[in-house]
Amino acid sequence: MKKLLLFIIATVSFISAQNNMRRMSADLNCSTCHSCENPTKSNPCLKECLRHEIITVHNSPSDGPENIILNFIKTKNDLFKPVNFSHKVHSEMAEMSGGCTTCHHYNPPGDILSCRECHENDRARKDISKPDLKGAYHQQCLNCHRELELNTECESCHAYNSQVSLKSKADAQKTFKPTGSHKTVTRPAVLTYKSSYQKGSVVTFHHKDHIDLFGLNCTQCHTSQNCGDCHTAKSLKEAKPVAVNKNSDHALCKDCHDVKGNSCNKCHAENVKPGFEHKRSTGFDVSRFHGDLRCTQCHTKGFKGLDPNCFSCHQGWTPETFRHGKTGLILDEIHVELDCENCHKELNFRIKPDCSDCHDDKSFPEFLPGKKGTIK
Amino acid sequence: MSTISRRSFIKTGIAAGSVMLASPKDARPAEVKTLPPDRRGVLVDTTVCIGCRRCEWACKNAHSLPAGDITDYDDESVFANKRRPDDKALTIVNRYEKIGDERFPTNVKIQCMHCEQPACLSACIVGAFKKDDTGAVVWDTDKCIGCRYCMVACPFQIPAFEYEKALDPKIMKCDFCIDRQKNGELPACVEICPAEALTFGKRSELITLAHRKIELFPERYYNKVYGEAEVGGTSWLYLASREFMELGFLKLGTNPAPGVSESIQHGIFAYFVPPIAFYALLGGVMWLNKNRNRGEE
Amino acid sequence: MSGHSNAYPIKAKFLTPTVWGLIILAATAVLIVLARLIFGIGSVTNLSNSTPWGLWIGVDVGAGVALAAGGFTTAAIAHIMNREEFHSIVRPALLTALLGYTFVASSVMIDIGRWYYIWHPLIMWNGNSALFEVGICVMIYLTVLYIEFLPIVTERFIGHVNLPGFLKMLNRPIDKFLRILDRGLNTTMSFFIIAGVVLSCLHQSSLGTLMIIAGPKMHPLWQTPILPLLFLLSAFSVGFPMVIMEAYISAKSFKLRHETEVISKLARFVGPLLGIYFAFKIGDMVIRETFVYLTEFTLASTMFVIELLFGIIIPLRMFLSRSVLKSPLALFIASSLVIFGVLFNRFNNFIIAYNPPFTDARYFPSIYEFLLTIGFIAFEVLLYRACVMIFPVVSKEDHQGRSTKYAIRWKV
Repeated sequence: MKKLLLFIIATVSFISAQNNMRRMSADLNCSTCHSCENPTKSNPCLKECLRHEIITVHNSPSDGPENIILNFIKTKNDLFKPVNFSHKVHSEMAEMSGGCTTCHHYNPPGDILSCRECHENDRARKDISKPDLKGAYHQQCLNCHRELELNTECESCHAYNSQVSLKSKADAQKTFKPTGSHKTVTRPAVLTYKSSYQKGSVVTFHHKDHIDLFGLNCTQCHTSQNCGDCHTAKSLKEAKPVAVNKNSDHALCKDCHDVKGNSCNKCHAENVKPGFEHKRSTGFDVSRFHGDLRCTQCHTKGFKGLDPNCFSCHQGWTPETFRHGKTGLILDEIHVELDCENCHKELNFRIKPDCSDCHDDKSFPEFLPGKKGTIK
Repeated sequence: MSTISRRSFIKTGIAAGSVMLASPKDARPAEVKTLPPDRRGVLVDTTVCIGCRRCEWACKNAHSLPAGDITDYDDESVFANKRRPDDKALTIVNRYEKIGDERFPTNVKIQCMHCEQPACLSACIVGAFKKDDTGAVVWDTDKCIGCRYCMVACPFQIPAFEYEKALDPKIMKCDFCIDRQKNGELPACVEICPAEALTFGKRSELITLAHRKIELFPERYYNKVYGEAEVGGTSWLYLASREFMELGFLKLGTNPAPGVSESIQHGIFAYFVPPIAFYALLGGVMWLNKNRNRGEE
Repeated sequence: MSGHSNAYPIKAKFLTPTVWGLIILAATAVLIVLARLIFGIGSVTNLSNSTPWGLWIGVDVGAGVALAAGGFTTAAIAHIMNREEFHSIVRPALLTALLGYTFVASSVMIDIGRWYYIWHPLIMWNGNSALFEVGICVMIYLTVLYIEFLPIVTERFIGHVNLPGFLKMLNRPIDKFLRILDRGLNTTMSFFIIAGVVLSCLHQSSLGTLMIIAGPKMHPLWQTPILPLLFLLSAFSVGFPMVIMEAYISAKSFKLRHETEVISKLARFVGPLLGIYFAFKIGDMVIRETFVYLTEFTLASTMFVIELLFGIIIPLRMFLSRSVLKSPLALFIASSLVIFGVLFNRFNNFIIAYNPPFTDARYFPSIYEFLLTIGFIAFEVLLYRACVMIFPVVSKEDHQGRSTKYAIRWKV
């Protein structure tokens, strides 16, 4: 019985671990975290958790807590009250700059680690390889706040403790309570850029297509975007468009596009280029039946063109499972019973079947093997 | 007659000179006190420092200097001038704006660097300075005669003097909060620093940490740990995002500051042999001249 | 050593108009000393945390020690070389050195923050410190100078102890004591004379070592590892010019005959000594290639050129000229130039060459610092005048020598 229970627990935990693994974005092997060959529980030989070895788990901002009161550091004469940290707003803001890892720089699978789980709450400590908790908080927050607010006033986040003598009483009343959520960023459909390339000075960037068709996330291009990139300290409410942090002109595009060969005219043109259309470029109209698919669902790595035979992908199709109504023709009772190849010669679905192959007296388009219409 | 004495004058001059000339090439202090391997230090990460000047307040408080209200230190107008530590403030923070990017000015805290081989210690006429096992370079108020030679010697221009005091004027400089350290406390500035721009620890570990930071974030840091090698090493170490000379740091060699002067001193005074030999030489010359004169008579 | 002397206390009127002027200057210095003692160093000087050493160290101590070099150089030539003809100038040189070092010591007392701890270096040693060596050597040498001067005191008072009133009964014991002292000194004087020369060589050079530790704060024209040697060589070369100048002035002042013969003989040494100093200074400049700084036309380069040209090159040429050696006035001018050169060199080394990296304004001495230095020099001159009038210091050539030491005194 015990053994059975153990087995169940082991299986469940293995499955949940597998699920967690799947959420990870980085390649992971034992040596990512462990420095030795055979880590044990007593000697896990874990590597220092530093930002560069990022193993990240992505969670949506709404998964985290709304607010956290950071009252973990207490000293005798605290000048300030604990900070009321609006976690949700901050995580929404972080979406553009790397997600949770913006702050949770060590972000292994499992429960999200809070700062204080790694950063000791004691400045006089043995391991000085990472800052203490107070230092970690300040370094983390100030990185953005310095840039955004141009000053480092304590009052931006802290409220004064009332017992501390102050020059003006008004300061004591000041509290910082950010609430609500970060406004959803509107996405432009098409952007055009000027380039110095003579044979095609206009680069048209179909922003919407890159997201909807090609399935990129914001952060794949908008890496390490800071608050200050859009907001100025004077007015946080207003924001200017997000500019991409690009090191060189092709740096962002080169991951997907060939920027070295002779394919310049793919992006560069003398005028604004239309967006990508599968039928025009390849002759294969994806809009009718395959419009919901994202490119990568067919264009996997090593894609060398598809077999036009539907069965090469849709292997499970039989007259029973294939809902013919989807094609715009609901077959009548007689024709539903037939095998596909009775009508579609050699299973070539591109060629319309001819009634005269079976019927002498019937011909298309007067007669149909069913009625027009589609079923969902 | 006159040629003899002229020649002997030249001889003594050369003799005295050659002793001095012989040494400065390998300019190392004659005896380097072996420092304990676990001596402490502070790593100042100027990329983290926000210039809140809380360290200035804490330092004054810890050393019973008039400190004022902590909120006075929010006043950033002091950054208009480049200040220096003095007898009323043992540490200060200066701000260096980055041209073209006012968002990230570099703030540099200045205090005694606590050299591994301190010039002040070597220079002090009464040996009032001491390199403590904690790494602190400290000063004994009961010995000091107020000659200010330590101020002349210090390559970082740190010791200050209470010029306004008629009685018991003191040399004032950061003492690495040695009293607090002996009580198991952190230096006051390190303790108060909100962002832990000041990391207190073993000097050896701090050097490792500093190099690791540079290695991990090469875009954030200028590839140098100031104080690792300067004047033979200092207990306080600095990281910065820019060339250090732009931030008011001095370009100093890696030879310990007391090197040349100490080797000259020990050259002249090698176990009192040269002075005694010189004494004997002069005695001999005197005796010879006396006898010769007597012979002439 | 000072046995067969034909020196006599000079009889003259002490208070002349010049002396009154000196007294006023000296009194001013006393007032400044009082202000310094009551209100602190900051109240009278322009010293700061960036410039901790100023005029008082540069001139009063640095140049003071160098210019008192006449004492040991004369002692070396007269006693160690045993050149009888120079014995007549030993005592004035000794007195100059004695007063010079007293003046140095008092200046140090005024300049250090805790003057009441001046004795600390005697028991608290730091062998690594050049300043410690200077301090210890100056203290011992000062003592040696006083001991060397003692025979002059005994000579003056043996047979002359004449206390008034009931103290009369002490006359004989004191006289007896002085005789024993004199006899003791007579037998041990060689020891002190050699010690004086050794100590002088040590601290004259160590005075140069002082600024080496300032490293890059010192202007490269002056900062060199052979600074101690340069200091020693310049001390050698300034010793005799000091004696020559002082003999000339006292002869003028007391209307005595110029001792041209002795002075000319002495002056013959100055040329070679100055030449060696010059050679080392130029050699050092060439080897370290610091001559590039001369084209900069800054304060430092100007001061260096003045020091070199007026302090070394011109007097060197003068001392090598036969006609100059024969003329007391020309010798006086040449000697003054050497003295100026060495004084200027010390001033340059301690003040002009010292460039603190962080400073608001360049140090310039305050009026009080100048007044104190001038007042102290006035004091020294006054004391010299008083001493030569009290003690048998200056020799009179025309006076018939005495055959034995005490016989004549008994008669007087």
